[in-house]
Amino acid sequence: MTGPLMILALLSAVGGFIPVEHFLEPVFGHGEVAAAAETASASLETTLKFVSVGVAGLGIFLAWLLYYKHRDLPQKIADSLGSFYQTVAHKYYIDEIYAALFVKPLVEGSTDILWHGVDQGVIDAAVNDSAVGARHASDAARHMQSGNLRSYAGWVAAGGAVVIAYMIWMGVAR
Amino acid sequence: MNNLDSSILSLVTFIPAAGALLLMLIPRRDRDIRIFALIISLLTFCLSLYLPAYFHRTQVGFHYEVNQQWVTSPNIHYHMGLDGISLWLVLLTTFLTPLCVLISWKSIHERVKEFFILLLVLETAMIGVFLALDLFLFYFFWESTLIPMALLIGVYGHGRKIYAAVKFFLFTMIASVFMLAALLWLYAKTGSFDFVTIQNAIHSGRVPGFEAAAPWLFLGFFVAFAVKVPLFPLHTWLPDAHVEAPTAGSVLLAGVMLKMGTYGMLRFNLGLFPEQSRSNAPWIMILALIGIIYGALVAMVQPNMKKVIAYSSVSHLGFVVLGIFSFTQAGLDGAMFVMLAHGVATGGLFMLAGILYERKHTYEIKDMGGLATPMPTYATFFLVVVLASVGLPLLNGFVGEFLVLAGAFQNRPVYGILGATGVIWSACYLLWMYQRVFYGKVTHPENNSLPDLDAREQLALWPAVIAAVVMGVAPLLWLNIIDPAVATALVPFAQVASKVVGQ
Repeated sequence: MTGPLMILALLSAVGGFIPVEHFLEPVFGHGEVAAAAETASASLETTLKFVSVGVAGLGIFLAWLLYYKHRDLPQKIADSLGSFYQTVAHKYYIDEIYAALFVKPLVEGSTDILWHGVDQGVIDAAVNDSAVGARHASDAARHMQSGNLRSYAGWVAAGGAVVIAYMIWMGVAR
Repeated sequence: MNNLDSSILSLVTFIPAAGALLLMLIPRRDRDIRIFALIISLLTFCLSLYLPAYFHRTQVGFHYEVNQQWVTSPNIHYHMGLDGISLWLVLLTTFLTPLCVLISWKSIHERVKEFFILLLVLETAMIGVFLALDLFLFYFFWESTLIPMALLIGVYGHGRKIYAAVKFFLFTMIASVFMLAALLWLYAKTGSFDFVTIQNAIHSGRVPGFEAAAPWLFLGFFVAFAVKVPLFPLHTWLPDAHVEAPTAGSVLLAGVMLKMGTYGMLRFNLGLFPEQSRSNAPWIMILALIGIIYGALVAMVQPNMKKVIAYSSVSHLGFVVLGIFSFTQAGLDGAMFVMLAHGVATGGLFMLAGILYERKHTYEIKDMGGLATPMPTYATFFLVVVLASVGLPLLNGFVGEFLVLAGAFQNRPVYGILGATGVIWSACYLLWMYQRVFYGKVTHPENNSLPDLDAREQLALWPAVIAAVVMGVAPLLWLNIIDPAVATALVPFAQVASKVVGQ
């Protein structure tokens, strides 16, 4: 990774000198570039250049001061700022708030309500229960076939009685 | 007119079955059997390339038709034909099968011969489903996909494989009985099983009693297809079947078999019952939207990689149904494209999950972690396929989802808006899974010694990755053929709309 970083470092140091003024001309055309150049005056441009380099330099100096020269300084600053430091260090707890507000309800809701609740509790349960119900019904019906001749005779008699009752009922209905 | 034109469909359909027959005669030397199965599946793929090569985009109707009497009484024909809707689905099948053979090379140790016989029989049945134009022939192929797939799951699966196989079989079998009833009604009234004949009879109003029966016929077909898709709330067989199935079974189940359902909706529900399709569309689209969001949310919290991918299929196939029942050109084009893209991307994901299973013998996400360190090539392949599935622009998932959402938005803006959240959800669950499996430090020391992909595994994955990129960059190669076919399928809907306006 050092190689690419070196190229990027070199470019960020001297990239400003690469003449790219005409780079965007195919998109914006000559007129607009010229107009933009007129509005931003040369002196303002120079001031902004120095300000940005100055800010960068200040950053480098602060980093050198805090993490090289006086290594105990960051801890002291942190201690003196107290809870404010903690809040900033935790990025104003944005991640935690987001996790509590959105991620946790979504993950738990999907797990408990949708997956275990609807998918397994309702849909799958209905399918499996219908299979269990069919098995129980068949199990109950199976006992009719006991191998016992007297019970078979009973079933035949019962069947005959049902048929006779049906015929009588039909006759009465007519 | 080419000599092959009249026989190409039969060749593509039955060469795998003929290969399976020959395979029975080959002695049980596993290596020979694998090589033979690979050759047969590659031969089928090469032959199927003939289909787009000689496809005339301007020709309306079916290509390469074969129509011969099969049974005189009842009047059943061997009627096969191909249009822009079925063309790419056939190619998807022939494309995925050789990859399935490659990915099963080492993971299947026992009953190798039977495994590859089942795989090839399954390929024939699936191609037949997409090509059959006789409703009885269609039903024949439709049901014959069930047996090899149930055996693949029940014999070669893991865990609760029998439970999963029986559940898969019963769900799809029971649902397709309703379709059989609808088929028989149509035959009784028209005296023909032929799709084109019945379609013409219905459109010209020559079927007695059709007005009263149509809502039920529509539902009969729809239930059979909705279970296969699977549409919420008929989806619970899918995660179980996927988790227990062997890798090749999962790839073909997600890659091709689910599309048999959406293909059926497009061909038969829209083709035979345009008015019922339109009147039933609102609740179907709502179920599709529930499927998109519900499937994604449940996918997000699954602890098992294969279950994540299985529920993601519920979500993605929701997009397909949403597109189909939007009755817009964009929606139907998109639905077709999502079918293909999902076949490639999800097929790839299941192959990748299977590769990991061969090494770890588990799919549990908590047993992974930091795998990018020991397996960098694997992690790269996985990321490309995950991004394709998420729908990153320039990869194949994006094109279809975008078109579907455009179509849904045209139909009713709120459908488009709700559907669009599905794109965000898919990024949530897939990238979160990717993060937990691959990033960070290796959490289980034994994972440090996991071997990276070998040459055979890369050979199986490269085609899927290349297809994902090419389909994303040049979707017009596919859409140019899909578009006219979809426009033909939409013609009756323009008429229905004008009828409504005319009143």
